[in-house]
Formats: sequence, C-alpha cells, structure tokens
Amino acid sequence: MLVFGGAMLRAILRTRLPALALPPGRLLTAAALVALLSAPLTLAFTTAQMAGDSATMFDAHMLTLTMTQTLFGQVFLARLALLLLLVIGALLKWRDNQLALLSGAALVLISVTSHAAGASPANFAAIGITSDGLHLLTGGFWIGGLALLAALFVSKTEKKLLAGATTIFAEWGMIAVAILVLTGMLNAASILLGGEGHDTTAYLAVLGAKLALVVGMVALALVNHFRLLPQLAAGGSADGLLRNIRRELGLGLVVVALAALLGLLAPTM
Amino acid sequence: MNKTLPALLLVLLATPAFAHAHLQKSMPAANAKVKSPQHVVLHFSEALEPAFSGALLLDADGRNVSGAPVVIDGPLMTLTPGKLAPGVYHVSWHSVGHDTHRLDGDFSFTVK
Repeated sequence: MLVFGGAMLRAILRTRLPALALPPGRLLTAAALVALLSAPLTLAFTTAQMAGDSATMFDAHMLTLTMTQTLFGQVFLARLALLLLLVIGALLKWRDNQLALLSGAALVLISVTSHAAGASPANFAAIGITSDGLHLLTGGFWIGGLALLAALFVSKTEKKLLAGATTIFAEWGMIAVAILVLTGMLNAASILLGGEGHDTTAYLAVLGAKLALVVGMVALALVNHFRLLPQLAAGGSADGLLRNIRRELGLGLVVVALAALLGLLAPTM
Repeated sequence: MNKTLPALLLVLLATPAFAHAHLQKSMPAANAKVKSPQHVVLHFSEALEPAFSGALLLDADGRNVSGAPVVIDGPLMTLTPGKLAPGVYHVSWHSVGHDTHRLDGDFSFTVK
C-alpha cells in the first residue's frame, strides 16, 4: 500500500509540480523489500489456517500443496513475481508510474481471495474483487501519499512547494476517500447482510473500531485542508500540518492492521 | 440516480452470499432415517479447495466406512460408502473456500 500510494503521488507530482525535488525513493524500496520478504510468512500462516494445524507452517509438502493446488497459492505466486519485479524496479530506479502499476497489481490480487470476493452476490466473484480491489488501491493511495507528504515536510522543502504538493494530494485524495468509503460500505454490506447465521461480535467490534478510526482520519484531513493548508499557503508554519499528517498516517497504519485482522476473523457464525 | 440506488441494493441484497464455505444441505439430511444411500452428498455455499477439504463417514463404533476417496467438485463433496448396515452414522467434514478459511462440522443420519 505504501509503495503504490507513494509511487502514484510521486508520478502525479512529477507532472503537476516539476519544480518540486522529490525525496529519494528509499522508503519505496524498503517497503517493497518488506512486502517481498514477508510474503513467505503469509504462505505459511495461510497453509496452517487451511490445514487447521500450525505444524504445517514448516511442512514443505503442505506449502507446496498450497502453492500448486489452491487459488490462494496461484495468486500468491503471481504476487511473489510482481513483488520481486517491484523490488528490482525500485533498486534500478524505474519510473514511478511503472512502480505504481506493479505495486497496484500486487495489491489488487489480494482481493481475489478476500471475504468480499467470497461474498459476491450470486457467487459472481468479479463484483467483490472489483469492489475490494478499488478499496485496497484507494486506501493505498491515501496511506502511501501521506507517507510521501510527511517525507517532503521533513526534507525542509520550500513552503510554497509544500502547499502545492499538499493541495494536489488533497484533490486526488478526496476522490480516493470517496471511493474508499463507498467500496468499504459495499464490502461490509455484502459480507454482513449476505452471510448465513448471525454476525460475530468480534468481527463487528473490529469493523466498528476501523470505522471510528477512518472517521478520525477524515476529520484530520478536513482540518488539514480547510485550516492548516491555507495557513501554510499564506506563509505560515508547516509544523502543525506535519503533526496532523503524522497523526493521520499513524491512524491509517492502525486501520490497515485492523483490516488485516478482519480478513482473519469469521464475519458470521 | 432514482433507479441506481434500488438497483444497487437489489444486486447487493437479493441473492444469498457467504463469506465462508458453509454446509447448506446434505443427502441424506441431518437426522434423517433412510435406506442405505449409494452416496452421501454435502452441498456447500461456495466452491471448495479440494486439497484442504474432506469428510469422513463413521459408524456407531467410530469405524471409518467412507469407502472410496471423497470426490470434490465445486461446492459438492461426495462420499461413496459401500452398502451400509442399519444403524446410526456420523459424517464429520471440514471445508476450505477460496478465502482460505476453514470450517468444521458434523451431523448424523440413521440407516433403517
């Protein structure tokens, strides 16, 4: 998510604000490396989950079975190839839009085996995959974009350029958040309303916490846009905006962790 | 817009959908009293991952009488036991859907 959002915003800023000196892409490279290196852990945990036995996490036969005989395994191998290419691209300093394309594809593939795909109306998985894929991409743009903005603020960029970059991020961010909220509602509705049995308390509690944090992020974004950004554009201090961007990013990372937890919990019993 | 919202809600809510592979029905049904069935068929709410899904048919003494290997095709799981003697039989199943979540369950039926 960090790579996709960061690379997307970098590509946009390069075109819209050529005078802006972007920070080196070390954060992108590090995030891509973490994604690649943590992929085998995902395979191990998922195999244990499917087998109902934690010992299978280190069982070569079972791991091979997952990779070769399940939809998750096929998606995992495709993501692994994309992440490997992404790391190579980041190290070789490929163009930002190429990195955005690779990381976006790796992100969307997660939705193929998501709850939303499984809960698609009439078992037509493309509906859930599209909705969840858009949810991941827009969420990635928000989080990754915030991380890049924070890096720009720390790098002591000229205030006028900082205000310009923040304004451009806000323009795209508003569209991204609108799609994020809409697809989030669609996903939650299809999973909870379409499911058999009663909703589980744990799932609803985590979903509620995630929603509350997203509301907090939107509130911070509104304060940034309507109060702190005009102050910065008028030559005021950038400190308040940087503080809020960090808070928004912190909340965003917790939201991502809660979203990952939702993927592990059973929505209905 | 007037038509979009109802259409969206219809698509979203009109058809049943499930986040995991739940057992929807079986033949013989749970607690049914039947003649010796040729097959025991379990129908799940979504396509299964055959490598991680399965079922066992046990008699009243806990002996495995599943017969031929379980056949899994999409959301269907089929056991083909031999001729079953009168008595209570227990089906113990586990399902994994494409979302990789595992569900376990069991039910019994009686052969007359």
